[in-house]
Parts: sequence; structure tokens; C-alpha cells
Amino acid sequence: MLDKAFSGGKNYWGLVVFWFAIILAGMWAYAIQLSEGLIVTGLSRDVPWGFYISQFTFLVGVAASAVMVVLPYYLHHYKAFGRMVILGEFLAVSAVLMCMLFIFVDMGQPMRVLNVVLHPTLNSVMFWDMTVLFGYLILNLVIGWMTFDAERKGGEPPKWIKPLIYLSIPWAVSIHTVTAFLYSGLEARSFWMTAILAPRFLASAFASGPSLLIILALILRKFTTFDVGSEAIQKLAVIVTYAIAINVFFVAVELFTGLYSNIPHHLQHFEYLFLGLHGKGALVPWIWTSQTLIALALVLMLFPGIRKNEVLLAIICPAIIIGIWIEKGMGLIVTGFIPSPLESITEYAPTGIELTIALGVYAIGFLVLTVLYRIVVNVREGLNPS
Amino acid sequence: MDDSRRSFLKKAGLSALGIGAGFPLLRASVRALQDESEQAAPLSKQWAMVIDIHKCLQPEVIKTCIEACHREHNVPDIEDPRKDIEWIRTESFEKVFADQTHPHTQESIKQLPVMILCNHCASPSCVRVCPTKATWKREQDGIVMMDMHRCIGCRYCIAACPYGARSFNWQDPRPFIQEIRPEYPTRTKGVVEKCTFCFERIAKGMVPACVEACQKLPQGAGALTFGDLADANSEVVKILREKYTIRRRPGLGTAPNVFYVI
Amino acid sequence: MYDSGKIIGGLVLFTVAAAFPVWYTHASGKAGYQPNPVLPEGKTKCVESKEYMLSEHMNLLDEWRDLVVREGQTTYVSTAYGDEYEMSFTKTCLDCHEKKEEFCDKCHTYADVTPYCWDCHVEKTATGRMQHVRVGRQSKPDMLSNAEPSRRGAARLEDKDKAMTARIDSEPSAVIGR
Repeated sequence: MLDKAFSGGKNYWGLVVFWFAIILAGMWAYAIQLSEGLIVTGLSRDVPWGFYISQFTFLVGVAASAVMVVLPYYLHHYKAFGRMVILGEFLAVSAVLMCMLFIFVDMGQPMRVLNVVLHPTLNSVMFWDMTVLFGYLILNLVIGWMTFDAERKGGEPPKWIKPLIYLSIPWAVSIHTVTAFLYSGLEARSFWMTAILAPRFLASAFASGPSLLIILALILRKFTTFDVGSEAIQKLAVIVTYAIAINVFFVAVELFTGLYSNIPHHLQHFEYLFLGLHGKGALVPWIWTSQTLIALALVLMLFPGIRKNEVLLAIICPAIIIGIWIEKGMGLIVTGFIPSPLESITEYAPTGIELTIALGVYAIGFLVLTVLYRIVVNVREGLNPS
Repeated sequence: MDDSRRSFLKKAGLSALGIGAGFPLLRASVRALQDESEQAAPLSKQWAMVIDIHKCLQPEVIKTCIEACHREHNVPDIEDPRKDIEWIRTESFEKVFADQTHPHTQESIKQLPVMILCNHCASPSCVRVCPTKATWKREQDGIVMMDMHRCIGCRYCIAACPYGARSFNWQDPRPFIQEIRPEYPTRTKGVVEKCTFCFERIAKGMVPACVEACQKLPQGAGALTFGDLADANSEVVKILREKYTIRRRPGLGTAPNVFYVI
Repeated sequence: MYDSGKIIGGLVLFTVAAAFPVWYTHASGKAGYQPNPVLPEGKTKCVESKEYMLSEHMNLLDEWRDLVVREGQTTYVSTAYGDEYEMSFTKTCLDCHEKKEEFCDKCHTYADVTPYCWDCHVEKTATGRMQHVRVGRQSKPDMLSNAEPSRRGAARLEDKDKAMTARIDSEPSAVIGR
């Protein structure tokens, strides 16, 4: 089936070359980071995690959101997702890959990454996170590949794939729950120490992931013969609407608890994020952009007329993705460190090298996605020649 | 059987499986947590330190302590505070004991320098989160150790430490060490480090470098006291019995083993 | 499989060619080059037999490091000679093998291995002041922007020197008191 990745038009090869160019830039930047150390990043003792871990957090959500097409299709036999489901599974593969790479580039001693496996530490959430992420990658790769290969050959997938599909549903929930537990189990960071973090992560994941899937489906329809069908897109749009509404609710719940209780340790972080603290507020414009985009998107998506207009959908979905990317990325990770436990306010901004490495990781993910989707499109065209 | 009933049964089965697997896990984790807390059987030995804030106010004492430690362990001297590495340092009273100050606290008290270092907690958050056991609590004497050979530099421990006691090597530290003591290794870029209560000196029956250094100063006598918390006759236990002492952020349940006489 | 004969034949040919250094050395009975580490003068034995050290020194060091750092043990009893050693790379190993470039590097360079021991452990010959080579891009703008960096550096050095003279000869030090 991999041979199908090698036939494509000028657009396809142009895109592949484009990703490779960014990957090269990313590798160059990573080589610098590898030899100089993480000094090339904007991180500091007070803010030890930044842009990389923010991307990781956001992308775990994108990966988990595949469950939003897998569950209706396999558990409820919702046929309209028939062509969408493979896109979801392959998006999950690419997103998990990026997650793992973002963890990797964040490590001070990447050569020792296998220590996590050689000295498994059951009490560390990070150990579990790596375990479930790796498992999820394998699950989606195997499920996506086997079911799609069977379809290509016009047969049924092997029987043993069904239990794996059912397993992948709670597994998707687990990856984002465990990722939330990475943060919410830390008594040192009161901003994260909230039971709603895992549900919040899931809600924002099910808003941003399917939004991305809608965009990808629309792009495929425009540039290829592959059409997931309007019904599938509309169903996803409804899912996005519910999820974004729940996410707004969860954030509001969190804000209430923080603001009404008036406990300084909780309050200060929100203050830094939304208003700035002691004259420092690098994230303030970002979070207001994010909240405005999310609020607008929610209001618009509530109107079926707007939601059903695919042109508007193509504008609203990116707004949701950007809004959540800020909110649960930098907005959540960096704010957790400001102020520090010693009440100092050290701000953080990623450096050019950090951004280039991050772009490189995204390019690797999107290259894998481009190739996988190319295979999907080519196989489909072979099945129903137009 | 119709579709919806079948899918309901499937879902019910899955949930039952989840709960079935969940309860033993939950019980195990609760038990693990209980073991970690201070109510569990105390260690046969637990090194601890008492810092007398009043005796640690003079710049000479502070400087001598910090320099003794940093020289002993080849701790680099990096000017950019965001990238610096410290095993022991001072912060103002209002920052170290934020919960103990209020808007009307005397300014002079707020600004008092307080020595801070790794608390070698009874229930250390850093140990709980480390994915490779590169940091762990030594059973024989309760020191929270660091294995620089194993650390992968994920900085989860820095995120977990409520005391800001850990530093990361953002770069190769060697160019920033004024004079390298060959007897003690330096660190490499990409690993986390912190105070280890001078485990290498304790092994030889010596006290930590900071304690020794300030004992040698006439004005530093009794500023830092080191001893075994499990030994009823030790100097630290004696001070804890006689004087009013506090610990940093007691509400978090980490149970620090560095105490402050205020 | 198409052309299976050619593929398998090619693989065999490649393996034979790639293994040339191995079978040629064995067949001819003489190696073209052998590394020649300089053994410390005046010393007759290492902590274990020469053969054992030759093949297992990395495992021994690995074991030592875990025993010292993780188990808190310090004494090693030699299985070959029965005598005791302090398990310390810096103090025991480097005490005899003073010159890294004439001992360690000889084989490591030959075998193209780069153990990271010296990233942290300090060579004995480097005692005293290390050279302060500023490497790479540490000269970040925010560090340079400070006024008169050289004077500040000097002041810091002076402080250090004062501290050095103030340092009290501390051996043997106070025993952990009651």
C-alpha cells in the first residue's frame, strides 16, 4: 500500500518538498540546541517548560479527538463517517508522532530517553503518559492500516481488529486524561491543581481536533477527488459545537472557583494571564485573542444556518483551533509557572531557535499526514475511478 | 438483539472492565500514598537541618556558607539569574514564607534574607514525578538524592518542587566554574541538580560543607545545625524541642526536613 | 520474489565485503594497527586482572557508579586479589591513570567510542585553574548588555579570591555532633 504514496500531482510533490524544507530548517536548529544545550531556548529556572510542552499538550488533544469519529462509526454504526474515520485515525497517528517528538526535543539529555523504559517508574505520571501515547500510536497505525487495506482489497478486515478498535476508544480518553494528570497532580502549581483539568482537556480536544479534521476534509475535497460527504462534515460541526460549549463552561467553572474563593495562590495566576501581574503580562493579548475567538466561534456555531455554511465553517474552525491552541498551550503551561513558588515573576517567550525546532516537528507531522492522506486518496480513486 | 441494545451491552461491559481494573489500582495507589506520608513508620535515620534565621543574617555568614557549598560541589557561577544554578541561596523572608507575612508586616522583616536549600522532604514531590528514578529518597538516611548519570533532563521535578530548590544545566557549566575541584565531578548540560546534604561528606562522618563553614566563623556558631531527626539526643532534635521552629509551606504535606528558628 | 537469486547473491557478496577487516585480520594473523595505551609507571596491577579490565572495565564502572550513587556503598573488594579499593572513578581510577589522552583515549579513539565520563568527571592533570573558554553562543545579548562586563567579572574574581584566603583549612573536619 505504501507504493501509493509515490504517485501524485505537482501539488502533492510541492507540498512534500515544502515540508522537507521546513524539516531541514528544524533539524539545523535542533543541531544547535543539541550542541549548546537548552540555553538556546527562552526557558529558565522559574519557567522550565514552555513552547515545546505547550505544543505537546495541544497535540495530545488532536490525537485523542480521533475517538470522535471512531466512536460513532464503530459503536453506533454511523455510516456517514465511513470515509471520515480513516482520516481521523491517520490524523491521530501524525499527532501522536508530533507529541513524542515535542517531548524528545524538550529533553536535556535526549540520548538517555530509553532510561524511561529501562527504569520504569510506576509512580511517575510521565512514565504512564509515554506508555499510553506509544500504545495509542501503535493502535491507530494498526487499526487504520488494516481496515483500510481490507477495504482496498474489497474484503473484511481481520476479526482481531474489532477488539482493538473498541480498546482504542477508552485509550483515546486515557491519553488526554493522563496528560492532564501530568499537571494536575502537582501541589507546587496551584494553577494546574484542579480536578477539572482532565475533563477540560477532553472538551477542548474534541473541539479543536474535529475542527482540524473538518478543515482537512474540506482541503481534500477542494484539491482531490476525495469527498467525505457533507453529512459527515455537518455531524463533526455539531460535535465541535457541543465540545466548544462544554469547554467554555469548564473554563468558566474554573474561573469561578479561582476568583470567588479569592485564594491568592489561585488568583495570581489568573491575574497574570488575563490582566498581568506587577506590570508583566506577556500572555495578556494572547489570552484575550484566544477567548474572543472561542466566544465568537461558539456563538456563531450555535446557529445551524451558519454552521451549515461550509465557507463560514472554513473560517470558524481555524478560529477555534487557534483559540484552543493558545488557551491550553502557552496559556496553560506557562501561566502555571508564573508567579513561581517563590513569588517571583519571570516571563517567558520562545526564541527563534525554539520556534524553528517546533516548526520542524510540525512539518514532520504534516509530512506524515500528507503521505498517509495521499495513500488514502489514491486508493479511493483506484476504487471509484471518476 | 437489536443494535442499540447490543452496543449498550458492549459499553456496559467495557465500563465494568474499567471499574474492575480501577478499584485495585485505586487501592494500591492510596496505600502507596499512605506509605509516603509522615504517619508511616519513620526512617531509622533522617538527616535534617535547623537554620537559625537570626544567626544567618550577617552577609559574611551567608556568603561563607554559599561559597563553601558551591566551591565544594563545583557549582557554576552564572550571571543571568534565569539560567543560574544554586544549591543554597537566600531569598527574602516575604518570598520564602509568603504565608507568614501580611501587608502590615514590618518592611525590615519582609526583607530579611533567609537561606534556602533542598528540604529533603519526607514526602518529596520531585521523587514522585521522576520518570527514571534519577531522583529518589535514600532509605538509609532520608536524603533526596540525584543520579546525574540517569537524569534525562525532562525537568518534571523542577515543575513539581514547591520550593524552587532545583536547578537545570541549560548549558555546559564548566566554563562558569571559577576553580574546578577535581575531587568532585562537575555536571554536564541537560541534567538537573540540587543540594544533596553533602552525602559524600556524611559518608566520611563529616557535616555538610555549609554547616562546617559557618561553624568556623565566630559569628556563625549555631547558624546551621545538622543531625539525625530519628535520634532523640541529636542536636537538631534538641533545638526543635526547645525553640519555636517552622517549615516552608507546611500545608502541602511534603514534610520538609529543613527547619527554621524564627 | 523477483530476481531472488541476484538479491541473495548480492547480499552475500555485500556481507563478505563489509566484513573484510574481520576475516582478513583473522586470516593473516596480524592486525594492521593496535592501540597502545600507556600504563601508569610503578604500578603492577589494577583492581582486577588485566584481561578482565580490558574487556569489562565499562561494566565495572557502571556497577561502581550504581553502587556508590544509588546504594551508598564505597568499598570494592577485588575478586582477583582480595584487596579493597574506594569505588571512585576520580579518586581511584584516575589516581593511577592520570593521563586520559595516553590511556583512555588510545583505545576509545581507535574503537570510535565516546564515553561521557569526562563530561562531568575531571581529569587529574587538569588540576588547578581550568581554562575559561567561553564556548558557543553563551554571549547572549542580555548578558552582554550589562555595563562594563569586564570590571564586573574582575570584581567577582576578587570576591572569590578573598573568599579563598578566608577559607579555613578544614581537614579533618568536625564530626557530626550530638
